[in-house]
Amino acid sequence: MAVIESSQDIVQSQSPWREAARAFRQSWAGMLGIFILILVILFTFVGPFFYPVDPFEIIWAPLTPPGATERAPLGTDYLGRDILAGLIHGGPATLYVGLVAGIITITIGILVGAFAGFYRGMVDEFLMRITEFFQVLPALLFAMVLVTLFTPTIYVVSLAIGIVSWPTTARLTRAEFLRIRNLEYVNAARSIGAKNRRIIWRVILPNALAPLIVAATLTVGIAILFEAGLSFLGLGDPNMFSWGLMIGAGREYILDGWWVVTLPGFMIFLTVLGFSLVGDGLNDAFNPKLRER
Amino acid sequence: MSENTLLEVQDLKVHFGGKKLFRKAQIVHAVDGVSFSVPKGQTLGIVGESGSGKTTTALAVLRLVPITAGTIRIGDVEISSLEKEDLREARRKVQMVFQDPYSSLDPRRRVGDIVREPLDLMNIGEEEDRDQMVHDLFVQVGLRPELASLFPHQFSGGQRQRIGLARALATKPELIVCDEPVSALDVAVQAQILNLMRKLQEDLGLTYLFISHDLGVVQHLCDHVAVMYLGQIVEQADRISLFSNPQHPYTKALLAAVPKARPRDGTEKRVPLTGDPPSPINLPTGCRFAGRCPVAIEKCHSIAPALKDRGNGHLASCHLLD
Amino acid sequence: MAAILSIKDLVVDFKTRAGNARVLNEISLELESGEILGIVGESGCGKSMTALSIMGLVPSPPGKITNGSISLDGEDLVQASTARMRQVRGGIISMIFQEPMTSLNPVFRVGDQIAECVLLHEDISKADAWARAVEMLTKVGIPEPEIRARAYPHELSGGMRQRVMIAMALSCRPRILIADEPTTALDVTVQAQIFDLLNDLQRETGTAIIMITHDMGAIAELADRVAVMYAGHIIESGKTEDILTNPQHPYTRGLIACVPHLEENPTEDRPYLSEIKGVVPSLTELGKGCAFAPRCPYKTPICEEERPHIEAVDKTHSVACYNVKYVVAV
Ligand SMILES: Nc1ncnc2c1ncn2[C@@H]1O[C@H](COP(=O)(O)OP(=O)(O)OP(=O)(O)O)[C@@H](O)[C@H]1O
Ligand SMILES: Nc1ncnc2c1ncn2[C@@H]1O[C@H](COP(=O)(O)OP(=O)(O)OP(=O)(O)O)[C@@H](O)[C@H]1O
Ligand code: SF4
Ligand code: SF4
Ligand SMILES: [Mg+2]
Ligand SMILES: [Mg+2]
Repeated sequence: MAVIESSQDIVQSQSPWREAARAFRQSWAGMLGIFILILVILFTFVGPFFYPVDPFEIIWAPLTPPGATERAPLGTDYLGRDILAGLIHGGPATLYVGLVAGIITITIGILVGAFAGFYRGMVDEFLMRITEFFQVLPALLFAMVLVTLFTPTIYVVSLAIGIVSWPTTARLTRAEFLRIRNLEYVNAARSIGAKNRRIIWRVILPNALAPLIVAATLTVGIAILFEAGLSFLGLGDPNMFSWGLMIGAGREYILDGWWVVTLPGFMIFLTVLGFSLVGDGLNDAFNPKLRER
Repeated sequence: MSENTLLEVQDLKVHFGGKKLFRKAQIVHAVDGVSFSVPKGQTLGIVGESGSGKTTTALAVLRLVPITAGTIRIGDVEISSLEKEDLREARRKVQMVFQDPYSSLDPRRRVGDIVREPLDLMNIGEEEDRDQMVHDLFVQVGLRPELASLFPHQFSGGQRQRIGLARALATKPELIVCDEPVSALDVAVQAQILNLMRKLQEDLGLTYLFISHDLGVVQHLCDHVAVMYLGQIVEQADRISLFSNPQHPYTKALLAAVPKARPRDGTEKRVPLTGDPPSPINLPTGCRFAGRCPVAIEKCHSIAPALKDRGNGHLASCHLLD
Repeated sequence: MAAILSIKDLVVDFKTRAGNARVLNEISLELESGEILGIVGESGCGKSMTALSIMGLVPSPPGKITNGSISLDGEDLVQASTARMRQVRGGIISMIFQEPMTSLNPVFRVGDQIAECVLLHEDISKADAWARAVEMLTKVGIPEPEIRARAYPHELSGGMRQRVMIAMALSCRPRILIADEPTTALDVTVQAQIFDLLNDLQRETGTAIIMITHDMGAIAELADRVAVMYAGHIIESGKTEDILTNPQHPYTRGLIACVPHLEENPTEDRPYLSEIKGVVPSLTELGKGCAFAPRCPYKTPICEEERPHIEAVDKTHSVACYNVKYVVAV
């Protein structure tokens, strides 16, 4: 801890966030995660300029293995569509679902958790009963119902995933709020005339944010897997190319051509790994015990 | 209420718990009928063991815990019946300094902002003068104003407590409630803070409600002392009378238990209290101290003694004094 | 009396982000059998680290004993093997900590924890170990020891838990007991009970006790001799009476003078407390001179040049200060 010991030395001010950023840069896992994510993003967003092939177009014989022809370097799927093009064009949709579902999860989770933890009593009881209701629902089933009720567009899929996965975040937020609301600086804020709204959003939330950010990165990974699961069951958006869709569509041909599902699977694996490594790094960065010296 | 009384608390009760859906209601009688008053510009010390309700009393004075019964008056405002905006407005007159210098400052804000916040929230002074006011507050508590842009974790415990004092002084309060403000500090730092508090009191005419379990500190700082046991005041008197002529058996035991920083001579006989304080959930009938009292009589276990004046305003509650 | 534990020129370094921190700087101490030695000083001065060094528990990395010896009856514990240290800990030297809740395992009955400790060091049957546990609980003044032995730590109050810790520490009849701020977390009335208990046990068993505290009052109450620490150094040591009534180091004087002592007959006259100005220096930024120099009112030029060594001013009293004579004369 950098305590100002003597009054002679002018010390530069170090915001806790900046210290966390410094710690993150020193975290091996976090930096590797960032590196992986950058690779994935470059691959899917810059890839189309170098490899302008339509992933829906049939270009070669079905189930051509990787390396068999120059037209499809990573082979073709059961319709004869280019796998490499699929991998490149499937990225944005997958990342979109991950991020949007992640944001929905975090938003609902924080709102519910914050109010429950801050107001306690009846508000808490009520919100926690709702949270429990969502938690005991079989998530995948519920998402399937939502998606089949509406047309399975990418928005509906993101929303469905977000709606089924917020309870964990809500519980985490609530626990943090319950802890922090008893710290003396919250009472201090109240005694200098701060209103509840200010205490919730400006005093408690910033201090509760560290574990929530870690949870958020993990949520994105989970959402991506969820989307893959839905697509695998044929409940993804059929008009958007995603890695999940590739796996879902190719699942019957896994014995005839391992590459049809393995390659998009590998991309999902990389992305999820990237997000969880970043989550790990953030955890290190925010954990003052590890950061101390 | 006399002319120069600043804080008057009457029959204050704070009970926690109750109303449980599936569990048996367990009511914690944290503060159970406490009355005291503090004259303007003076200091009332509250002493007592852990769990006796000192912090709860302090929080109640600022309306930071729900009050079960009783009235609290600061100046001519009855703060115990105020709500919302009026309460916010009234809080300007009373501020608090907390025990833990590590958890009483928001770790994510610069200390300058922490001290400035009450000025902004309470709309004190002109916007453009506030930086200067923060500067002056820092000087007042003995911190270099250049340090305002740092974060709490960059300060030592004593410095943080100075920041806490600066924040409390920002609204120009008349009453400052101090909940064990020096308990977490080293003795050398404690002396600095105690001197600072005295100096501020002299300069600004502050009134303190000072909570502590350290009798030496209380004797040094306070003009009046109240001794709490299990949510009630068992003895209350001015400083000299209480320490030189303690009346209640609990006060006597408390004073005897304090280690004296001079060599043992082997002649002193100390009868330490046995056992621990009972819980404020299942209160004993009769005198609350009866279970540990070395001189208890039969009556003590059935009838609660009343807090009565034993001469010159020295209050104590014990059957043996009746 | 012979010294059973003697520490010589012990140096402990910690690697930190801000540089090397010399947490203990050429500490020398002697503990005689059957005495109570107090170690006082402000937070961070190295009291706990002294205790951990003796127990062979310096967290490493980042810490390391870089010099000196700790000899127990002539055996150097710094050089001792891990296996040997395990025997020493609990068997010959045992320790109790400040926070009794965190030092007891919450999922086991306290009786089992004491018995376990006995079984670790002695070759006796389980039943005998349990009997010893109950006996120890009786000794530390716990009412209904047979019943309380079956309790879990959270079912006991803070004072009770500290008694259990003491019972556990003494269960193998150690020759040295180190108590690191054993009463800081307790109320005064309970603290007084623990002091009396330690005093009685010490007289009864002859165990030597190292009592670590920041409270001069606790020292006066218990200790035969005192060592005062400042920023990793021992700056004064001697008989309790001498240190309290005739302190010679400027820091010790300041430390004693700044505490508001409880008077039996207070008067209206209340002078301000005397203060030690400034703050404790950071261990990574100690200069080559006396560690107390930046705060010392008696400082002379040599103080900032070279660190004073601790030297005897009489048979039992040692001080690390160049200007003792001047300080005492003032
Ligand atoms: N929010 C709460 N809910 C339930 N019980 C509470 C609450 N706050 C305090 N208590 C209980 O009320 C009693 C009095 O607590 P309080 O904190 O006022 O004691 P204290 O005298 O300040 O003690 P200490 O010296 O340990 O700070 C205790 O038994 C405590 O457990
Ligand atoms: N893991 C560590 N890394 C670096 N420095 C450490 C570590 N543990 C302790 N220290 C430093 O060692 C010094 C001595 O610590 P020690 O715990 O012995 O102090 P103490 O005198 O027992 O204080 P207290 O009264 O607070 O218990 C302190 O300045 C502390 O900052
Ligand atoms: S009333 Fe009885 S039990 Fe209570 S303090 Fe007096 S003598 Fe003791
Ligand atoms: S050596 Fe010098 S600086 Fe150090 S304590 Fe003595 S007089 Fe003060
Ligand atoms: Mg308290
Ligand atoms: Mg320590």
